[in-house]
Amino acid sequence: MKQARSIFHFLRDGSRRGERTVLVTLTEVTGSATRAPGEHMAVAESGAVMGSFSGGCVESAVIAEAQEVLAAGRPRQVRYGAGSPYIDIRLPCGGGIDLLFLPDPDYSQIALALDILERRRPLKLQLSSTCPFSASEAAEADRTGWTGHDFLARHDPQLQLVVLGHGAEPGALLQMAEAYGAETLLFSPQASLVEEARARGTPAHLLRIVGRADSFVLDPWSAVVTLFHDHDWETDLLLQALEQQPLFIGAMGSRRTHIERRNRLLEAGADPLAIDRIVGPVGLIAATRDPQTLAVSILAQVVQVYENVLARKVVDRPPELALNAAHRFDEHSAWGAPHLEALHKTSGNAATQSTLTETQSEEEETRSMAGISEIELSRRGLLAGSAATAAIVASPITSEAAPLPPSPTSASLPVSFEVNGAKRELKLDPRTTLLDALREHLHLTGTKKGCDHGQCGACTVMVDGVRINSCLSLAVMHEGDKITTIEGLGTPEKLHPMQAAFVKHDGYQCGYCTPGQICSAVAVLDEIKRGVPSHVQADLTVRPQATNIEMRERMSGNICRCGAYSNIAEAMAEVAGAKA
Amino acid sequence: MKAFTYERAKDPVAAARAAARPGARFIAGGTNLLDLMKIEVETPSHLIDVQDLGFDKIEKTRDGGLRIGALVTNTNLAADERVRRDYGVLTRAIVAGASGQLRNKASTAGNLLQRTRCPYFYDTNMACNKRKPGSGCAAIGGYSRQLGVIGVSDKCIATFPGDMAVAMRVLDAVIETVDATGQRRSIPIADFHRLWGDSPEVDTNLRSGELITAVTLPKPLGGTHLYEKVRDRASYAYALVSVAAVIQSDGTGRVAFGGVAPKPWRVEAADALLPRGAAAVTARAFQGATPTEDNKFKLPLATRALASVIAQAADQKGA
Repeated sequence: MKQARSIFHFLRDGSRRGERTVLVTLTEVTGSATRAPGEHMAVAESGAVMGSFSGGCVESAVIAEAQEVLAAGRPRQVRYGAGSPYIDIRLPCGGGIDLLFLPDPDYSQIALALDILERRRPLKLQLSSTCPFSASEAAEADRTGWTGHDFLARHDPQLQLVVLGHGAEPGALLQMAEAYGAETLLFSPQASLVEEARARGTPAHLLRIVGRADSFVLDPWSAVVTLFHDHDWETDLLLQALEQQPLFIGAMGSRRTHIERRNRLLEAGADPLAIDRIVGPVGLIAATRDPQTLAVSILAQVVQVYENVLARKVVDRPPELALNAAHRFDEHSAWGAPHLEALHKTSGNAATQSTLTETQSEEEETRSMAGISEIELSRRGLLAGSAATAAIVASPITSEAAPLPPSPTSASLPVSFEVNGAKRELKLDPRTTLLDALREHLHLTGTKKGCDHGQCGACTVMVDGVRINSCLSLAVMHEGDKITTIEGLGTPEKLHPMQAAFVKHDGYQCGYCTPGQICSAVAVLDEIKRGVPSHVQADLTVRPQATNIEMRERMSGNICRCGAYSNIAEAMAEVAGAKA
Repeated sequence: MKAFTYERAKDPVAAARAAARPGARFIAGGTNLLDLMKIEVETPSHLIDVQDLGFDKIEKTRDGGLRIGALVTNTNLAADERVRRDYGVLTRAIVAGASGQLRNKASTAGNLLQRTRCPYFYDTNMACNKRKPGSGCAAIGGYSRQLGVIGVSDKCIATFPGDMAVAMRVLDAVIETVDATGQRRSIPIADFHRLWGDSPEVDTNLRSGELITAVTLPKPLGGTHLYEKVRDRASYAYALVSVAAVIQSDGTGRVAFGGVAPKPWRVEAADALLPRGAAAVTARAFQGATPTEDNKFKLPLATRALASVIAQAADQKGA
């Protein structure tokens, strides 16, 4: 769900309390990222925060930066992840994001922004150097993205789901939609349903007679779904919906029902092309019966259409060009961007200039294409129901939806090795790592992929008795090797002593790193037994002992983000003690 | 990862011949090469797997030294009893590097050939003369805390990141190679790694297709063997500064520094100053240093790390 309203509430409440705040805006994304350009975080002087830009990778850095921006009192543009001068803060997904920090956003503009969103009108935020922050109603053509030195963030109203119907389905759908964060509205001839909805806080209207309904108003961000078993109720209401321009119109019932519905609407004088806008049977999952599954099925379809419309409100740009936008801000001294100096020095050359021009023309082209195709796309999606909707998803509306060009393939090579005592033969692309061979080809998913770069240890397995990072080893290089994974150490019925000790000493929290920790721990005790030296050994000629400090040093290649280290060391100590 | 073809070589000269092809690379442990292939900093079109070439033994040489096969793993080299007894600085340097898992895979030759960990070399969004000659250096003027203070150039300020080679430099190891014609060559480690100069894309003085077969250590030096590594974490991190030293009971000895330069940094004229204390040694060894604002701390840190090493040597002599 989109957070714009909660962000502005947070800023407004901060202002009312007299607390200073920073509005942080995501202006550019390179590669993959969890949020789209135009989304915000709000940070208060106290460090309180609303919203997020990643799965926890940069948020604390954003809070610290925001507090510095408050101290400096000037806007600032910073890049995190790929391409960032802050090379110590990385996004594990490999992407990069540009963030614009705006201190002390104007109270009247925040209030105006909230008012626009609460009236269900599209909001345009203009972030420019001359007027740092202004809110106004967005025009149809306004897109999230850069326009010269200004960044424009467009926020469309939250999805509204208008449910018409009776029986068990409307309640299930309304609750599901509310959990998603949609605004909801019910029209029903069933008084008990209306009362239930009102008791939950959902606005609801009782339909007293078959016919048109009062206050049945749909905006372009509203989806309407009819859920009637008695189809006499729906004809006039569907006609009323077709006269408006909602995002989506769906109707419950079988294919046969839909043909009958069509005929009734034709008889009532509806335009045949307009009738094609109705999706029937509604939902992504064919032939659902129970109300909860139907609710998920319908909501997913509606959200898909809504997301596709929002995606077209962002200026699209090939990801490899996105980095240049950081320089665009930098050109304007009014913004002040101390952290971009390093970037600027190295790429303020002719090549950058030419890519900039390319980017701008790309933008214009995307915009004009989006302008023409917008209505066609959503109509095409609505014409033939779920099949066509799936086609929308596959069409390159966003850069993410476009399939990657296929890499030239390498000829597969045969390899055979022993895994947990069983001989396995595979034909593999030589690029396949041992980790991927185990997980994707042999379906031994106990071994985990964490960083995929040999830094975290989640992929640790034993090969010919020694532990290695299976992510940094090609499967084809293991011809004839004996591989032991966590599945080969023990089973749920018969745990390996190290597995039992991890359970007993609570040597894990989320459990993701645990298979690697356990394989490593087993191998570490063996290394100590074999006399392999370590960094913490004072005298290299003396055999090492399984002390706490030895185990901590030897386990340093296994990272646990939950921080279960001390319990892991206790589990290992128990097993080492039992062996000694 | 870009597609490549793969072969498992059975014979060193044939392997060297195959490697002379453009785009071909040797692969042993693969811990560095595969990491870089995944992010397409390295894009070989052909990999020659050298694991069957039999270079996995450590043998005595006729003059009382050791010949370490190119494929001996870091773990096995560090654990070898002769190395622990006679070349302790080498064991200490190896176990100060990477993690147990990586040391089990990393080979002796591969460790010498590992590429810099400069973050701008890894980030393909950034200009890097080492990754893409002529594209510029984003590290100069960038975040350079980890980077080089001496022997660097205006094209590249990256460091050689390894620990093992720093100890080998103190021990005056010699790298043995074979090429596609069967010709053998011995390269003193002092001449193995290059300073970046104008072509930072070339890390070593190996010729195209030349294959490392072994590293030999001269006969043991005696003395106290120490390796002091200063880093941001207690374990599993690259050196900010490291010091490899062999110090004799009369206070003379040898010293090399890691984490500061494109190669293990040893200045023989500075070795001679060891009896006069750490400051005298580093003043000479780091003469002409060009640190950045971010990494100038490495110079006093090197002096202090060396002072600590000298004090430890004195302690061990007393004990």
